[in-house]
Amino acid sequence: MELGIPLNWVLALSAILFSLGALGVLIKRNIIVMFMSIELMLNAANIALVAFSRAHGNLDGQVIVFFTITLAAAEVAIGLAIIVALFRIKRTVDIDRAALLKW
Amino acid sequence: MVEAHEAMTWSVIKGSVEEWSSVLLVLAFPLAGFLINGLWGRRLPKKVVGFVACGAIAGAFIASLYQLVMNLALPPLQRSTQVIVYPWLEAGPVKIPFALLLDPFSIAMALTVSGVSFLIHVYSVGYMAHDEEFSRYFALLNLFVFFMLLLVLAGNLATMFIGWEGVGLCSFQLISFWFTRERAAEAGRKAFIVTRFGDFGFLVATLGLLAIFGTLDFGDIAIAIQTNEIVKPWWGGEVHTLDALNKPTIIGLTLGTLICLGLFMGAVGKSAQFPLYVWLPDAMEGPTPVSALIHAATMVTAGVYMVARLHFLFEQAPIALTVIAVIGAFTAAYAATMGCVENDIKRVLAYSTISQIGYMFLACGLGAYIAGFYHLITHAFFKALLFLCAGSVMHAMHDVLDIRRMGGLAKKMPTTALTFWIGGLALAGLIPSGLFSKDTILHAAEQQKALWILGLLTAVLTAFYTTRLGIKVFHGKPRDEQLYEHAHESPDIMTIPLIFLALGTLAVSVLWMPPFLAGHWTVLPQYLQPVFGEIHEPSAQEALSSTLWAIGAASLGLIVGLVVYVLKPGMLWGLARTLPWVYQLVAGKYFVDEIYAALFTRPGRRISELISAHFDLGVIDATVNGVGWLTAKIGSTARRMQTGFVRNYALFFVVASVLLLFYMLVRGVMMTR
Repeated sequence: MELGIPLNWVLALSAILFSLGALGVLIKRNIIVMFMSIELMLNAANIALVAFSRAHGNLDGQVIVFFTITLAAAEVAIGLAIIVALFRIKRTVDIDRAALLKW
Repeated sequence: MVEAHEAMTWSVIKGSVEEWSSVLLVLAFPLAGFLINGLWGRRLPKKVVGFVACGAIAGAFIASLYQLVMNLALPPLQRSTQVIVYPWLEAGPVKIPFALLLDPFSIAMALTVSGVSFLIHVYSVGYMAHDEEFSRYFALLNLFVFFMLLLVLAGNLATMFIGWEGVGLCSFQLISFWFTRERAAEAGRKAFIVTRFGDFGFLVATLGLLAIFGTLDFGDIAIAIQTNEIVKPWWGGEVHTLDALNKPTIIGLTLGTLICLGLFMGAVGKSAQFPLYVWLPDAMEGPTPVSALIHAATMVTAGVYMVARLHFLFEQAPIALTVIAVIGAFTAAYAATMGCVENDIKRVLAYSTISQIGYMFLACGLGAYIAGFYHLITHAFFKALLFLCAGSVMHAMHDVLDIRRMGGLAKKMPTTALTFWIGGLALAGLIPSGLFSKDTILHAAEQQKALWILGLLTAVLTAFYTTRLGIKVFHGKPRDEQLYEHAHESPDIMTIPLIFLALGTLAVSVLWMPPFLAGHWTVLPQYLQPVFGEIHEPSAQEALSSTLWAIGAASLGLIVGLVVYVLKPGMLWGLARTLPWVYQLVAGKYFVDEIYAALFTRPGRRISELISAHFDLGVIDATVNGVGWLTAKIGSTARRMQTGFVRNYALFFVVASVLLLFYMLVRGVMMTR
């Protein structure tokens, strides 16, 4: 591996970002913030993939990243649509107010 | 043994289905009738249902007739053909095909069955005309004929067993045909359970044969016995067939004897012999044509047919043959005594059937298979006739069965009365064909004095109760004026089969005439000779003396009957009063039903109730309910996990992922070490 940032550092960054995202999903009640946290997690995974791709010297990881980005775009389209629909009914983005489907 | 057979070789040719496909028609017609009436009968008009049912049986009869013609065209020693329809059960060395056997014996029996069945079907159209379950009745009746023909034409014991159980099923269904009547339902159950008791023996014996011979094929077993082939029985090694059959068992009898007794046990149940006869009188709860067809002419004679079919096996077990002869003779006399005191017109005939089948077993036990079979044929005709006459009387008397309320009906129903007397006298052995067939049996028994005397005694009793029945029903003063006023002759569709059966009763006597009447007129024995071997035709003089004995016995019964019931009607009551305990014993049917109830039925019921209360409720039901209860409990607890908060679900994800990662980490560390 030539000069540059060591792989472990990049992986550490990815792990930190992923944990932050997961924490955000777990503790936030605002559904839009939760949504952004999910994006954070996806991109943390992307960073790890790209880092491995570079470390191994092939493009497989980068190809998967493109798929992930596409998936994230689709997810945003559907997710935002659901959020808008939810907001129209509930007049709020507080996810705890939408806890009707339970035992 | 008068009819001792020559050492004979019965050869069976193996034929292909393609070549012998016409035999399948015999079975296909009744089965098609059953399917049509069973599936669509309710939507078809009664006329069509009746036509289909009768047509199916007529088709079977014509197909059987065709087989007879084809069979007669072959030289005598090539008249037995085994047709393998398809390979059925194949497991390792054991191969049991679905096979049919076409030989003079099975064809003659198939003709008798389908011929008598046809007349009874026609009669049924009239008898059941007002019944709402018309189509179910005919569907079952056709199914019965199908199974009966399958039993008759079967080429191995397994195929025969299908027919054997099938006729039992139809019998059960038809006895309890009017199942809303408690007595009919109970009678059906009784018939089913009692015959099943005998079938157990039949099945065990069948398996025993399979374990010795490795085949259930009639022809193969016969040849193995004739040539004393080497077989591989279940206890290992290779032994000669006869040694295998003569292998002693722990209870002292040989293996062959035990197998034959097991088979005979099945015959005892199906053919209502002592001690398993109790179901047959109760079976009279079914419609009368059913009694005529199943419980007189065909199904109950299946036991006799089976014993004769396997005669080569029974001949290796003389003890079993003796048992058969003794049980047959005893049952004949025993059932006849009950026939003398019974007051239910159909039950008298039922006891008479038991008694006549006893004669047939007596003949088989003595090795006179053809005599037994001859009696089977003649009995099929005259007993079917008698039952149908009884049905005609019931029709006229609004289903009254008690002969004490009848009398003088000859004036109202002359055809029924006339045909009844033809059947009755044939049963009594006073006119052909009953005279000839009973005579051949008595002649065969002449050497065994005890059996012969029982046979003659039965002949006396038979003539007596037949006379009693005929006189009480058709002659004298009407005892119930009101019923008498409404009595009328049955419609043509019922009387015409009666006339045909009466003519048939007289006509079948041409099958085998005694030598002093018509030289050597022995159509039946000649035709059956390839199966049963040559018979020793008695000289005219011997035959004449034997016949005179038989006629003498029957006449004695007739005269006593006439004296007691016509000339001095009070006499019998005097007799019953002087010997009250005898009368009580016989009228109570020897209290066999009560003994069985005390010994088997009630303890069986008690045990069943205990099992039902404790094992069934306490173990089986409790297990099933417990599983349900547990599932419900787990569900009601676990559903609390479903809070509705997205956060909780996300937490499950995260925690599970972390645990999974942790697990993989630990595993990775362990493996690298």
